[in-house]
Amino acid sequence: MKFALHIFVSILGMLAASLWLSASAGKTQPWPIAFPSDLGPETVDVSRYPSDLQAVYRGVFQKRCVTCHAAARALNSPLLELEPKRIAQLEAAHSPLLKDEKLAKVGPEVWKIYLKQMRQRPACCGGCSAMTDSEMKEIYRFVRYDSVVRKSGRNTLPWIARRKALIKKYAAFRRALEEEKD
Amino acid sequence: VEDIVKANRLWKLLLLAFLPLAGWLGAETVQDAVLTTAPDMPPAIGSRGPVTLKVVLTIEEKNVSILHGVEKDTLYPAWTFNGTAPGPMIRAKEGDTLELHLINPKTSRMAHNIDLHAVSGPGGGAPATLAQPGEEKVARFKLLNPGLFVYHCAAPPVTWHIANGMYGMILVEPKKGLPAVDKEFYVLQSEFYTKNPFGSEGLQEFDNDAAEAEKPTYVVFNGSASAFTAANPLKVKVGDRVRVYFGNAGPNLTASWHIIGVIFEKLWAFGSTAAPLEDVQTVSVPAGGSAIADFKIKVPGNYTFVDHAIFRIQKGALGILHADGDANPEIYPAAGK
Repeated sequence: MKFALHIFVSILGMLAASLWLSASAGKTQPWPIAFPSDLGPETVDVSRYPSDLQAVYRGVFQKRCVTCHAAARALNSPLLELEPKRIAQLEAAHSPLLKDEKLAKVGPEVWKIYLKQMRQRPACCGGCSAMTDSEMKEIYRFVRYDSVVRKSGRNTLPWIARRKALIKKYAAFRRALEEEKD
Repeated sequence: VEDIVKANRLWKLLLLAFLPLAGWLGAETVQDAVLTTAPDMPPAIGSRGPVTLKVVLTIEEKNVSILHGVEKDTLYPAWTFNGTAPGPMIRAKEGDTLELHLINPKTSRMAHNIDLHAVSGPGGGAPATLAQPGEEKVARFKLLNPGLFVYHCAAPPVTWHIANGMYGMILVEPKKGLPAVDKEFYVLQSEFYTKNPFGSEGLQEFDNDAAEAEKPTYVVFNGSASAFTAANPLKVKVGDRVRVYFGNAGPNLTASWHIIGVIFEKLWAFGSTAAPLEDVQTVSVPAGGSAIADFKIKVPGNYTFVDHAIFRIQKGALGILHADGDANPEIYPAAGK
């Protein structure tokens, strides 16, 4: 019974992912597509998020992150930061979130580390401003919350289905580019 | 009684008259050194003659921030001279005598000493200054050669003492001095080796295996990947003649120091104050070496300085120098024009 439910939720997730990907197709992409995440949506519905995080999303995330890459790269990334206790629970339950880092990269500091790497970028060699410490902290609060909401709990399987679909779509995209080159 | 008072006065006058003569005959002049924390430099020395320069360095084992964090900074359990890694800049003059006081508090876990690359003699002064916890060592060294020199602790194991933050620099000005400039900065590159990856927060632990493999977790300027952020850059004005005293404490890597958008108009390579090179883009600075770079900022904006072994920027080897002033479209057009 549990297995059948698992399959049913997976199929639902795949269907949702297909719809979601086709809805995002054809959008203007101002940044080169270098990762599967870049092919996902560039926005997220934050209407049910806490109001301060909605403000960070619009006022900081959507302005700062797109200085160097598409917003889609962060929104569709596999990063998921959870407390060590929660990770231990996922391990005990053999969660699919811990099976493949391309689908979900789970750790206690993954966003913290990622954001510090972003802050270490040389700001287009001086052409634009670098990320400040306070911007980094604000963006961290948003991406951590957003990824917990959209990638874990009841959204685990739909999320994994989305990542699989993105990876598949990216492979097709690369193949098409190679064929064009030939 | 009056005679005694007169005689006393006469004696004092004679003594006062004799003092300059004693100075002329070579009586010692002792000066307390002005020590500065990076990126600040002590003032230029000017035209004085040789003196005995007293420098007091106190060992402090303390946790230092090597990266600003999201919730907590990344902290490293450092061993320091005077509480900072890098330790203070000492500024002396060729011919001076350095009187070094090294204080190792009782609370230290290790013996410490100092090897100054500016000192001629065994160990660069290390054997003469080896101080056990609770000891103070005093030693005098004649500074025979001008240049910009690294100093570091050389107590066994020297590898750990350098890896843990025990280094700084001493500038020995040549007798004729260095050309005057508007702004001077002290920048020193070094590495930290930790068991957790770059960006992990809280107190870290030294990773000896990574150090032996020469794979640092952090490559930093002035002891922190966050030393010169957008909010805290080195500040200059357009038209300033700027000089950077750059050192590399290692312990392992050779630095490829470069400022994006700047050409070093004069470059004293390897810390030698003899004839400078001209128009240099990037300078190679070995571990335990240094360089002095002069340049003029001609266009306002942010200038990023890096180790041009470029992946090291992701380990922290990135800083910002900001110049305020009027645009100079003849040299550099505004974006998109």
